[in-house]
Amino acid sequence: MNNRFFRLSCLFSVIFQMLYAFNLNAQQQQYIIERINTEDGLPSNGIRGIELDAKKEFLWIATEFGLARYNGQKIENFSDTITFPNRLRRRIQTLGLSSNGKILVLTEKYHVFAIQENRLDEHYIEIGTKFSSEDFFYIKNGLAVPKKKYALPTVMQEWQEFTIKGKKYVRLYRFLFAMERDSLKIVLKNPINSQFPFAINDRLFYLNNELECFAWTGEGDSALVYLNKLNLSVEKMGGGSRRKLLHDPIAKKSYLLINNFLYELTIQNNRIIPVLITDQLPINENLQYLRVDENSGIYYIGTQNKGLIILRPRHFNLLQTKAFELTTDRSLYAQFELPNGQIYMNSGDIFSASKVKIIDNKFIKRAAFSNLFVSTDGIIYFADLDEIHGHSIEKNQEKIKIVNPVKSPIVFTEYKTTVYCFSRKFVGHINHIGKLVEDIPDNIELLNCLIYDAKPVGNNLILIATSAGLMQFDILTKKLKNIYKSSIPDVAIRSIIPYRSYFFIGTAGAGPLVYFNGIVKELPVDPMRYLNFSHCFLILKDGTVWITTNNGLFRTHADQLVESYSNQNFKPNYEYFGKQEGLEVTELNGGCTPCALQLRNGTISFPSVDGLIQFNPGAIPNNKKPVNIYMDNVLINDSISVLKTFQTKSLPAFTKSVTLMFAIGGVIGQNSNLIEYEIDHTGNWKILNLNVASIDIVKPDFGSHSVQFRWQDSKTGLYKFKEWTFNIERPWYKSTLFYITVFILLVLLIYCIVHLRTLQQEKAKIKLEKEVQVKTHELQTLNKLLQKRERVKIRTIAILNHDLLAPLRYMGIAAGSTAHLVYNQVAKNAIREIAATSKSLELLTSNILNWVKYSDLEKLPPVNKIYLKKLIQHELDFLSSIFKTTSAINLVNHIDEQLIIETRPDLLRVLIYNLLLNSFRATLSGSIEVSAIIQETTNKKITIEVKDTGTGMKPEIVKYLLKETAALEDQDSGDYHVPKSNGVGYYIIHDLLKLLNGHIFIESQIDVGTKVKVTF
Amino acid sequence: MEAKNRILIADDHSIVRLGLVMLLKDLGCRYVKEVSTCKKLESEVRKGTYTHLILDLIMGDGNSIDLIPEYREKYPKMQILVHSMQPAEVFESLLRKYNIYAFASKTMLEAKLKELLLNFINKVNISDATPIKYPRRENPFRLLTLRELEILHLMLNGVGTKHISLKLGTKMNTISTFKSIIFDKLSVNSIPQLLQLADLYEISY
Repeated sequence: MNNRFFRLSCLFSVIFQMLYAFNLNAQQQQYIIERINTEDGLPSNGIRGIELDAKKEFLWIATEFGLARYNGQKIENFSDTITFPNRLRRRIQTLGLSSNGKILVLTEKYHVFAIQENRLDEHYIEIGTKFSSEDFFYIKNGLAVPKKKYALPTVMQEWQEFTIKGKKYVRLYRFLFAMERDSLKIVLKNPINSQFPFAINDRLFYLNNELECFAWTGEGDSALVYLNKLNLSVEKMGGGSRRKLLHDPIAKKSYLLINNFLYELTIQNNRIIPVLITDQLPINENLQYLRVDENSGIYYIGTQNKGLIILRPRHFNLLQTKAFELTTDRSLYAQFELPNGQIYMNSGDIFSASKVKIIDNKFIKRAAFSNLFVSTDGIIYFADLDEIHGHSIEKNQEKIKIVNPVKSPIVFTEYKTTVYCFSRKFVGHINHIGKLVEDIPDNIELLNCLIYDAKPVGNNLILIATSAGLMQFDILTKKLKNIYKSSIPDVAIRSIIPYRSYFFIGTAGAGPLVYFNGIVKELPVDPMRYLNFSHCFLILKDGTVWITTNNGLFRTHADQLVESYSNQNFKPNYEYFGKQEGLEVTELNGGCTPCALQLRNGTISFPSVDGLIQFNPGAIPNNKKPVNIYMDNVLINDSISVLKTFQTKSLPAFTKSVTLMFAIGGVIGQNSNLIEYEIDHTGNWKILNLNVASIDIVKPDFGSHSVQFRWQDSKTGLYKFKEWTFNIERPWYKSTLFYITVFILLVLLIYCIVHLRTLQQEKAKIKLEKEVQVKTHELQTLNKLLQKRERVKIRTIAILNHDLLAPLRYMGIAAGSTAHLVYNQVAKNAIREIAATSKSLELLTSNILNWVKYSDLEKLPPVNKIYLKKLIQHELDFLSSIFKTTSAINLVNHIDEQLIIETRPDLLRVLIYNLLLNSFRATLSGSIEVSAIIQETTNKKITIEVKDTGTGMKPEIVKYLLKETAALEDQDSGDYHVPKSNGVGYYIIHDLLKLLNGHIFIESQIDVGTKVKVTF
Repeated sequence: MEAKNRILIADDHSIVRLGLVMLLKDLGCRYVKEVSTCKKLESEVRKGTYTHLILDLIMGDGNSIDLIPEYREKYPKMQILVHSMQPAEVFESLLRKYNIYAFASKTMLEAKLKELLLNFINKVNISDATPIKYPRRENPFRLLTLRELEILHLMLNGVGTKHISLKLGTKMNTISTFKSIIFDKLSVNSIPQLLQLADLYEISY
């Protein structure tokens, strides 16, 4: 069966080849050639030497017009007067290596500069004038220097250095010199027909014009031992004698260049074997220098006048067919590997490596949709507009053929041995007898879109990648729902790739997604955001993930994608492969199943818009090298600063700008090496533009500043950091000394102001004190006067009360008691007069005393509640006793006994006393009546009325008495028993009423009587 | 009227003494002796022959307030009638504690005075006599004790603390304490305020 299948396949294969003439483009170049010249920034295309610092990953290029540095990304021109000091802008003779491996630069001025990491040491070594015994060179610091009198370019073309077992040898013309401490010693003068020495490892060989190889075993011409002749046909290479030996002293390798062919000379079994590197090198460009980066396999070749040539290993093969050249469409989509290693495309095309026979029958008769699916039972399913096909690969025969019910692309997947079909507005499965059974959900309108992929996720659920989002179909319930739709419009879900319990999901526009347990999360993308259009994922056994995009390939690890799913802060370590990394066609195709393929021999195959891209994943070098960051220069206010002291000395306080220029070592790409930086630990990380690699800090404040870089370790994905710090001087007006000075000045100022104010106030105080003294004196005088008056007043009151009032009373008593003892009428009258006068004086004194005492309201006794009738009755009784009234006068107290008023009792007593006193004086018979009315409507004012039937008064007298200053003239009653009036009574009444805020009303008629009302 | 009544009048005003003598003579008193100073009063009372004493509280050489408790103790049979211009509302109740017969204000009506003197010389029990009514007046000096009134009198007369203490035979600190108490009770801060208050409430000195 197998033999028959094999024979049949061979037959079809021959026919297939004849009809379609498919085969691979033969002998694809292993290197991509790249040119670097003045257009790329080289100072000159005339290269005078190259040296590779593999550790720092800088290629140093000496040119006619200065030195350049290449990091795989860009050329840094050391003749730039801004970037580097002026004295380095000079022609370079050559580059060399010191005995300790340091790269040295020899200028035409015979200055030797050592390269320190990323830049030249600013201090050069002056070459002395001491000459060696030889004619051509003198030695200084281990470097052989040609003498001035020789034409340097000519000399340098013939100059070659070799290090053999730690000892340095120099070839010039036909001579071989051993480099001593400070001289050159000829060890080989004139080897016959062996013009070109070369070194491999620590051995020196010679090659003659006949391509015969000799080994140099010691000193002298006879020390050359024949080994073998190189197995090369110079005629096939174009003939001629354009051959040259190039030597890499660091790699200790030698190369033979014949026309455009470059061979590495290797030693095997004591034979020199040439190994072809490339046959595409340019001719007539006088290739002079060759250095190889053994890590990346890149060759750097310096030419005499055409700049630098770089040979980059081609890791990615592009498979195209001749047929493609006849058509305009080379785009490829779904693919799968046949048992014989051939690749069957959905277009029906078959790819085969040149050594694999094309044996398969072309069972895809015409282009199928971009979806092929191989079930577990070895049936490959595909559909076209009319039919769904199922073809047994093993039997190479069609098993299933069903009418395509929807005439649209169909995506297949398998769950528990059942193949399910998804298409626009269609869900179904193929049953065990090969019939299509519909599983249309109620909301099938959700699937009114393009379907790209479908994968079972367990629990009877199938994920469906569509142009309308990520759908989930439940096989049992036939329920369909959209579980993810990007907020970005027109985002399509393109592929679903399972990894353990996770599913990596490719999208067109939303970047890679991860589905886990029903939850979809978006993953971080690369700096260039190429991953936004991630087509599909190819997961290798070791967890390495290759992601295709429409702008190159990415490599990462599945575990990092899973880690990023659970840890939002974790960024997967993406390695990018584009044109610079040897990927000629970067637009890879997606939206097809299967999109990516790893062949059984381990080769990875991706469909692109221009053929199949295939590569051996194990041969792809690590594209993400350890990051080397160095500081190139610092510009302070756009002027170059001294780099050495930048971090140790503070910058001026008024620095307007600080520009930090960095050198990034290594052949790197912006999209692979994400270097971020933050300023002053703000946490605001920004992506460093590797093409510029400078950071501007504008108007930095005083104090310490830092610039910190971070990048992910290529292996662990963890961040690594590097930091530079610098300090800005504190401005004088913010210095502590300034603050102290200002403080002291302020204190002095305050002191001066205070002192001045104190002086002013002292003056004012003295002036005021004088005024106060004057005023005090005046006041004291006045006070003394007042006190004297007060004392007089007080004393007067005391005297009136004690020494006048009582004696007057007892004078009256004594006189009254004495009068009846005297029989002389005149004496009797005199004694009576004395008694009457003493009464009168007593009343007057009492009134004067009251008047003086109660003249000031503040000194009055407080307000109190009193029985008005009792108070008036007491005064009636008192005056009745004084005036000795008889029954001829009827004293009537009409006031209600229960009438209580609230007033100053002493004041009222004096008022009543005076009112009654006037009535008693005027009344000899009749009545004296006292009544009181409380006026409820007028704030409870009280009116006391004293009415008598006395002599009465004339109207003018009444009018006069109503004046506040009234003081009646003495009115002699004519009876010396009756005290005389002196007018003081009304004066007191007016005063007291004023204190009580009251009024007085008088009605009087001669011989009828008087009615006096007081209201208060 | 008992013929053995021996009456001593102590008052610094001769006219007052004369008036009283005339009234007492009218009432039938035969033996009436007068003194005008505290010093004379003390020497006269010391004789122990007087049955009645009409005593003015303020006299030319001082006040007799402190004498009343002493006389009450030494001469319990001698009837004492205080006859003064001092306000009755302050002194009457205070002196009654020393078992005086009565407090007779000098402002009292003549008829009332005569009646009181008659009862006094006849040793009519005061509770049986017509009661003497004085108007009930609020007076802050009522808050003071007899000792405080005595010191007050000296203060009002301008006697310093030292002299008061010498006069009363008391320590200066004690006098100072009394003065503070007097000031507190009367709510005054100075001697002038005290003088004004005394005038207002008719405290003689």
